[in-house]
Amino acid sequence: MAKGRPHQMASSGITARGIGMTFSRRGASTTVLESLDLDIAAGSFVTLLGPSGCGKSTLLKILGGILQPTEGSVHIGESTAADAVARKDIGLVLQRPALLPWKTARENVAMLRDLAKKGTRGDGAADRALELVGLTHAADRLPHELSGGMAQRVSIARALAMDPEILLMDEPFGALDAITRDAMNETLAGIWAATGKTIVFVTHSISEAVFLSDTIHVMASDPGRIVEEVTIALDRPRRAEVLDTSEFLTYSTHLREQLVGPEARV
Amino acid sequence: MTALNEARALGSTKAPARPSLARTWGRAWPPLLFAAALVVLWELAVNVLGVSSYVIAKPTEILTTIVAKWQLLLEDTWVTTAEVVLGFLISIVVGIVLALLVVRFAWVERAVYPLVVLFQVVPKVALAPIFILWFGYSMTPKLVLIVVMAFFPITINMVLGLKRVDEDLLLLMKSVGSTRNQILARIQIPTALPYLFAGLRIGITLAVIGAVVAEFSGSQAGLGHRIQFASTQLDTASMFAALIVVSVLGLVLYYLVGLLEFVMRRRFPHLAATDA
Ligand SMILES: Nc1ncnc2c1ncn2[C@@H]1O[C@H](COP(=O)(O)OP(=O)(O)OP(=O)(O)O)[C@@H](O)[C@H]1O
Ligand SMILES: [Mg+2]
Repeated sequence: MAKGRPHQMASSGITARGIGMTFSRRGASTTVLESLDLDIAAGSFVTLLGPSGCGKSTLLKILGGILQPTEGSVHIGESTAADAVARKDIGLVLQRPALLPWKTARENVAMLRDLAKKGTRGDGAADRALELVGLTHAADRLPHELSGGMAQRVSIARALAMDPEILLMDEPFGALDAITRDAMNETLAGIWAATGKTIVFVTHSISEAVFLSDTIHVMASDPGRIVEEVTIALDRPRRAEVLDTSEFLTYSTHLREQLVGPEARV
Repeated sequence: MTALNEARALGSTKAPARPSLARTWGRAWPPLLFAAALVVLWELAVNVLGVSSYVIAKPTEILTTIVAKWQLLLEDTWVTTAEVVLGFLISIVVGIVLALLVVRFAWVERAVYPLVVLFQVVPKVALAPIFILWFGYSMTPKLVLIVVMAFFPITINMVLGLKRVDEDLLLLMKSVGSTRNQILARIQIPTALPYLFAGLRIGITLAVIGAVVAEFSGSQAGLGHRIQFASTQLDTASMFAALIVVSVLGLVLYYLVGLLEFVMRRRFPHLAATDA
């Protein structure tokens, strides 16, 4: 959409105020998120980092307007999250690939794009998205013929093909080997730099978070909340070599201490 | 039914095995051989024990009866086939439409569906005389009985399949503002296809039963009528002949459903491998 105009696209920021989420079932209720505030600047790359079960996926779905919080509200730019959904501004990569088993990789990638009425049918956007994730050779395969990591990359391509203003990604590289993961990180950073999308990224991996983010929101569980906001001031574009710098190490160490908690620091 | 669906749902994630002719034959010959042995034993037993031909007909007798009365049997077969096929097609439409209404409109599920399920405790075969009373000796009462018997397994399996949709796929559909109807058409109905076919397989056998029972209760033609009429004449060989023809008819129709599923696997590879 806005290729070659880095960071000038009319991307929207996300504002979440007083988010609370309580799941109740047969009388028993669990509070997963409590009075959570979040500000995500337009065009920034933001990561949610936290232990398993702290509510990252739940928060991401709420930010994307597909899960209604029990408390609080989400605004995307000037409008509500629901309006942003109606405008098809949000691209989602969920934790599980969720592909249609009877459609090929290419058809799966094209499906949401077609439904969102972005571009015209068969304009090659699906193939370009598959190329970005390195799956051109697998375009005609069915989901059961793909490995877990390949299926996950198809689901990333599906979101990219939508060319949304806001990209919400839930552990998109969780099932990839280290080498492919590093390559995908660089690809994603490149896409972000070229398009100026707002990206919210969920991960368990500290180094992935530091490598990609402008801002990292560290979460804690019971109830899920944001305990710290860390701004990563490393120069861009970042290359794999940045992983070995002392600044990078400083960030990683700090984040690890945050996640492990003060009692483990001795 | 549920166990079958579970098995199919599990199987559907794997690549469907291509049934080769050799493999089909490999699986077919043991039961065929066993059946042939039984037939021979049957013939010998009737001869040796000297059972009266009123009680049980010999395979050779049945065969000669089929050959001798082939024209009559063909007419009856045509009548019954027409009833079953037409009745089954109506059952499919009724079954699918009802399933779609149940998952699409909450009030149908809450108000109508429980009654439909409750109605299944009625022994439907016993309704045949009532339908004859209402609709006379035409084709109508046969169709009504077939539909009443065959639509339910189609509906209940289809509902099960329509509801068994990946939650995350629903969320993704929501994220692009899809309508309920789009979700139904693009995700739920294709997901439900293997379940639908499980229902169709049960439905087609019930449709044949429905046709025969309806013909018992009041009819001038058809294989059910032939069996009934032959029994009043103590014509045991004819009874068995019609019985065999109706069984073959049921088998052929059952395999046609399997064939349809097999053909549809081109477009929907998640349909489980058929047993056909
Ligand atoms: N639909 C639901 N009903 C009830 N509880 C839920 C539901 N969805 C999530 N939870 C609960 O909310 C908590 C947070 O879940 P969530 O999936 O958001 O965690 P997460 O941070 O993404 O974890 P992970 O890193 O393992 O993916 C968990 O305790 C989970 O059991
Ligand atoms: Mg999660």
